[in-house]
Amino acid sequence: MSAVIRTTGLSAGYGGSAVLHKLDLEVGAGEVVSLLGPNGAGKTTTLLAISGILPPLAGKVEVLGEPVSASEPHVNARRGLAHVPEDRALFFSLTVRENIRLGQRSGGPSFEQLMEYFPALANRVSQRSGLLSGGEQQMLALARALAGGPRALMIDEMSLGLAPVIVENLLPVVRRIAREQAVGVLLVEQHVHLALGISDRGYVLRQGELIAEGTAAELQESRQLLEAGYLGELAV
Amino acid sequence: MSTTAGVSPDPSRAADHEALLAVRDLTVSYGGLTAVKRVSLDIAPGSVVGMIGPNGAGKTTFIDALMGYTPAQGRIEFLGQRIDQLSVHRRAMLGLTRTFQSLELFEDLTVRENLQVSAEDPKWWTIFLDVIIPNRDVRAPRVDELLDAVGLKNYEDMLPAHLSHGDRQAVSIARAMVSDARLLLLDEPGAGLDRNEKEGLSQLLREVAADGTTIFLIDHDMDLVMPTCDHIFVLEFGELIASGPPDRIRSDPRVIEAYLGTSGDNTEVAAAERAAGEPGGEDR
Amino acid sequence: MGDYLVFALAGMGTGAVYASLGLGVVLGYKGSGIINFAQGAMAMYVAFAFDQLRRTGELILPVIGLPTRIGLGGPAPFPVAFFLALLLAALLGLMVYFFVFRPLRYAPTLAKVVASIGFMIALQAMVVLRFGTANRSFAPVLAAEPIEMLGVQVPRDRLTLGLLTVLMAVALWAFFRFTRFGTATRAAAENEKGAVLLGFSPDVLAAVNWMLATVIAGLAGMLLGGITALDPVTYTLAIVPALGAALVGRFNSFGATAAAGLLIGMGQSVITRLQLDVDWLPTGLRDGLPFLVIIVALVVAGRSLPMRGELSQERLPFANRPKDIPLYAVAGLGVAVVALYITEGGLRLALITSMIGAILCLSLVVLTGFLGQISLAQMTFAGAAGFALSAFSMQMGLPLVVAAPLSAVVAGVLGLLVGIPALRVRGVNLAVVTLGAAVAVEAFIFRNPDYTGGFEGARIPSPTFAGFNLGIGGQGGGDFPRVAFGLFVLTILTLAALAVVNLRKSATGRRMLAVRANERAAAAARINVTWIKLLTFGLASFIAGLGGALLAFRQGQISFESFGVFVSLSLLAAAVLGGISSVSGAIVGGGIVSGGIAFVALDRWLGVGQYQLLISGLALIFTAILSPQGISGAVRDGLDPAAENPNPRKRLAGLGSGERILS
Repeated sequence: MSAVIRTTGLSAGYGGSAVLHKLDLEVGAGEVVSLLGPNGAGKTTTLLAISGILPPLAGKVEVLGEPVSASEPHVNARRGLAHVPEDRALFFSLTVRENIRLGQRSGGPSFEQLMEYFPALANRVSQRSGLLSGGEQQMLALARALAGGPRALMIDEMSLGLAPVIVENLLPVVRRIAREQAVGVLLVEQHVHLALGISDRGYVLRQGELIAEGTAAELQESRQLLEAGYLGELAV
Repeated sequence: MSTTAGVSPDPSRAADHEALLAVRDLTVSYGGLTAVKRVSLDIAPGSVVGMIGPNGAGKTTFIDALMGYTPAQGRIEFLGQRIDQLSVHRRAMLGLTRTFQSLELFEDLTVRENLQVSAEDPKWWTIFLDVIIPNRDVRAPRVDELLDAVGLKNYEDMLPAHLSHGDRQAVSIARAMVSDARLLLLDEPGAGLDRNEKEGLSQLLREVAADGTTIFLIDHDMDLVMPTCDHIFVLEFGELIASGPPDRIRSDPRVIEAYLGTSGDNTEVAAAERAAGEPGGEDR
Repeated sequence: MGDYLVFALAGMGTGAVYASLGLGVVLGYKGSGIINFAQGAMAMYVAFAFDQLRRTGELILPVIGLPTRIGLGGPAPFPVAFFLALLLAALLGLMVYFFVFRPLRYAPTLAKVVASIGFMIALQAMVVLRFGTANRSFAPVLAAEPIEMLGVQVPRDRLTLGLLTVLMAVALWAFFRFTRFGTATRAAAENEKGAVLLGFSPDVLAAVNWMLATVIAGLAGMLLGGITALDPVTYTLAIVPALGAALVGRFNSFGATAAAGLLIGMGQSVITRLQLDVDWLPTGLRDGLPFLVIIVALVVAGRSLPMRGELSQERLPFANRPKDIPLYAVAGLGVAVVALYITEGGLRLALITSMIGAILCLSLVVLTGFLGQISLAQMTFAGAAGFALSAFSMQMGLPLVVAAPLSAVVAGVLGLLVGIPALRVRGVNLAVVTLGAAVAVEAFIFRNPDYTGGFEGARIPSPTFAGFNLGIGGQGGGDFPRVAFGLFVLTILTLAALAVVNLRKSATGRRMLAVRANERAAAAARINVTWIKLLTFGLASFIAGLGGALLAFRQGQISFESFGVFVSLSLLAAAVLGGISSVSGAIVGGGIVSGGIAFVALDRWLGVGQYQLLISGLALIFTAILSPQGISGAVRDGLDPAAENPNPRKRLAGLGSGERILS
């Protein structure tokens, strides 16, 4: 299995100071990988650096075997890297259909196929996306990212502002997409157990350092470790 | 659903009539989204009160509403006076101030000037004196004191942009403190600080509270909140889901769930949730 | 009644031009987030180039360094000229985007406005150099014979123009609605990050939209040229009604923009007719109409520009805390006094002009440098003081010590009035309001002979104080300009400069900078943001009023021409070039105002006088891109290499820290 995303010794941050230190990470095709850790751990920074939106301070990022250029982040997207950012970056003034159209590229799934993954969107295609509910907006962001037929998909805090029940419904769709479209998925998520439930592997960051990595099962087992990361040592 | 009752079966409830800040049914909605739903709580003077909750729970929106940055429904009383119709600077003049998650420092002013702006309270006619005798800094001792307290004395003439994140955070906190407000609303003051810095911050907040300034602290970092606060509120999806002293919050299953998602073992949590929920029927 | 209909329909001609310029402005804003104040100037250049092609078959290029003209060997037939002109327009749009505005994509609003104004000044100056200032009337493009409509005779070309405008708006609407490119442009305007993450290059989107905008502008220019004879200033200032139309369309709707543009043109035409019947209507109403539209759209209807979801923003230049003031003050004063005594005639006059210019620049330092607000109407405030001074001293007979400060107070009050919109709008919106205000005040008041004596102008008595003659002299021979007047100006400049230095060091100055830096945080620090803004507008206008009063004394007789829009713009150019955020910058700015020592010196030694506007326009663009702190800031950095650049250029940084999701 070849890696669709690979970082080697990646350090990144803002204004010259690193938030993320020397991260080695890999996502294979068709694999779902969780990137976990408390706020401020550097998860979002990692995704931005992989996208090329944030120039790395050190280290290397490869997407689909080619090095990422931070000066032209849009080239990455054309090459087959989709990124659903934390704020979803939807175009609120455009309709659902227009949002998806903008994501479409030749070789990507058809509109109907996308609607099949997210049936809730199907009867809102002509609505402006700003009027959708939070869960629908997240579905649209996912559908739009998938529309280009990406080989690698990064999803940042999919559950932000969503009720757990919606998250529980959406995550299996992500799993299905990874399998059916052979996409490598890198998932940043705060609902740790939900995320690991659909992941193959996971990485845990704390304050920019990698503190654990392993298969989802291994990480599920070490619940202590995770809770330590989130609630502090005193917690458990 | 009333969350009022659920908030405080604890001492601050009894002290209702002397609450520094009393919030009743505060609701903030924009677009179709309700970011804060009918939150009611009291904050007793001289205490350190925390509010925790996952990302996107509405904590910052809550502070925005308290300060008047965002329109809100409900009632806010500060020092026994209704303030929910006042503009931001009027509320600030009454002794309410805040820090920002994104710090929002005055990037065009030096560190010292950032504090001076906050410390001074000039009158409208000051301008006429200012163009003739500019350097009348009566609050200088207080500014010096705080610069010392947060360890920024050596950086006072630098621009915030040249400081490390921890130092910028310190400027933000010092700027809020120097105004001698009665109630400080701190929005994620621990973000980006390392463990030592957080311990320092925790200690500083305790000292400030001991001097009589009340502190309302938003953070999701338990390392900071747990040892610092007397009382903690937990917000999830805009609603208060728990409230109490740190020990109780730490073992509250709903809190654990809010942070970790549905546990691997659903039944266990559900049982624990019921167990915790039953006795204090008004606790939820 | 039929008369009014004829006038209304005839107004469709100019209306169509306002509408197309407005459409171009909207396109440019959607595509790149920049308001192109030079839209009218671009239209003019394309139109003149088109005309020249048809007359002599010469293609006139607007770039220094390239050959001025390329001959095609004989007048070009209409289709050739038309096509070449449009091609030229597209190239111009492309070049301007890549060389001027692309480097400024993440710059603060001030830099964008300044570069846009710089480009407008430079292009207008270039056209004057290449084509002259005279009116041009073209061979008509559209058939003009009248046709009967609704019972009246209307020139056919006006109707054709109106129809073309509507078609253009519909075509643009459809293009943005139904094509992938159009949708992507709308998307990127709302959320640039989203567009980048989907693989769209913001550069390509912006460049194509700029080309489209210039082509539309050129089209408008060529068509208008066929209807009425036009001079460069009229063309360039057609941007004001176009901005009004674009604001009505919220910089978004092509339909509303086109309709508003057409209606403004028709309204102006009707007003012209109305004034024959209703003699008490103010004379400036026609030219003031666009300003009324701007105010109503922006302030009353709250139609400010939609915010763009840009990736990041740089900050305004840093306002240094002044140091070693007594040293600089004494040294500067010494140099100035000696210079006044050793110079004579033209050079001394230039020196005095520079000092007055420095005072005027100081007003911009307070308003823009300290508060971060943009004003394109600073000479309007100065003019208000000048004319008030004439009225106070000539008509009311008040003595100098009362009349001069009082006239500056008049300017301050006018500034407060203009500052009221600033409570609702900021940034580029405010630039639009002040530009409109400058045009309107000029039309309503300065050009009204009842108030200001028309072309003859208003007379100002020679200043005296406690028996001393402080006048500039010259009447009935004698020394001109007198040193005493120079010392008088120098005294006022010194006092004003020290006051501004003190302001920067004081509590009030800190509050201004705090508001400039962050209005949200300022309010939390007990600052009444409204009050600080009004105060600053009043103070800055008062200082501008001082400059205006001195300018009046210097000239002895003033007319509206000294205080027109372009004078305001070139003052802004000098202030930004000198350094917008410091007193030393204002002093340097004074040196380079038009008629100041730098220009007189350059003209004497290098003979570049006729290039003055072109040079300041280009210099303004370079300043905006390369050295936001102006000349004085660059010198300061040069003298003190250890000082870190306090305004580091950040690219894309600060994006997606994800901190403001719900706030």
